[in-house]
Amino acid sequence: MSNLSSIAVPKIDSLTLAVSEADGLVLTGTIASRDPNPTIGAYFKKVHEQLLATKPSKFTVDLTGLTFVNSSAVRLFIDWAMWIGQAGKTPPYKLHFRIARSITWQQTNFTALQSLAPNVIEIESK
Amino acid sequence: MTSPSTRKVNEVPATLFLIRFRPLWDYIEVARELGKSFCQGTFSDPALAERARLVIQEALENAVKYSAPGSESELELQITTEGEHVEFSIGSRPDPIHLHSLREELERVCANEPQQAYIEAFTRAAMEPEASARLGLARMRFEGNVELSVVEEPGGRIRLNAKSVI
Repeated sequence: MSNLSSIAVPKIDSLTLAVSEADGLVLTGTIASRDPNPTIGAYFKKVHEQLLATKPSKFTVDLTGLTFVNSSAVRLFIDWAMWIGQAGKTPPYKLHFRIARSITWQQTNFTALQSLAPNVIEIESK
Repeated sequence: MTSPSTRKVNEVPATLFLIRFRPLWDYIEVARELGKSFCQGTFSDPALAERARLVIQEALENAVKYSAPGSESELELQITTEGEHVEFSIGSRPDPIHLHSLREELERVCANEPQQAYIEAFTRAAMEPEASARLGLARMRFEGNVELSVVEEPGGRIRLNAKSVI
């Protein structure tokens, strides 16, 4: 996990991105920018590339504090799932999303994402 | 006097909320949170307020992105009730080229039941990583639980209507 700490975290006003030894990546706040891809998407891509090198069996992304996102942000998670799916016949690692039962957008979107990439996505509702 | 939070829906006037503003990205968050707070206070239903937040965000994003340049490109966000329905209505003046795309996209999104349409939108986004997400309308319909329609108005203006059961 320490290698991930060396990746520069983008500074977004409404969002806190933190790498945790225990929890993987923790996102807190909201994402509603016009194009989050050059900042957050680029960061996710670097994390993904690092994970391809370190080969964990799964990587946890804790979203329980991410209260609102627009559809451009939903796209970031779709892209991440696709990168893993395209990395080989067997996914190199699983993306484990920790989501909040009380936050509706998380339930609907990650259920849809899991149906798109069932071998890649794990969901843990808290 | 009845406070908004305890007022019954059938006592609420038909037009509840109306704001107009320039199509600037920075105003979306203000309008979204205002609309959400308004729904929370008026209907005392946190789930409806969350759905309102989503519908307003996605509808205004489209309206801002595709507004024609010029001084007449004012946006209007209106929230009204009719019986057991609440309607979010976003007026804008889009670049004409985008009106055709909006109609096509709406037709595509409404061709299937909401969940299926959203999963199809996910699949398309996954298959076309270089294209824009184009998830907004399908997301409004599924996650926002609204029926969508577009009405053309004089002067090149349109109104995107999103109707939900209260």
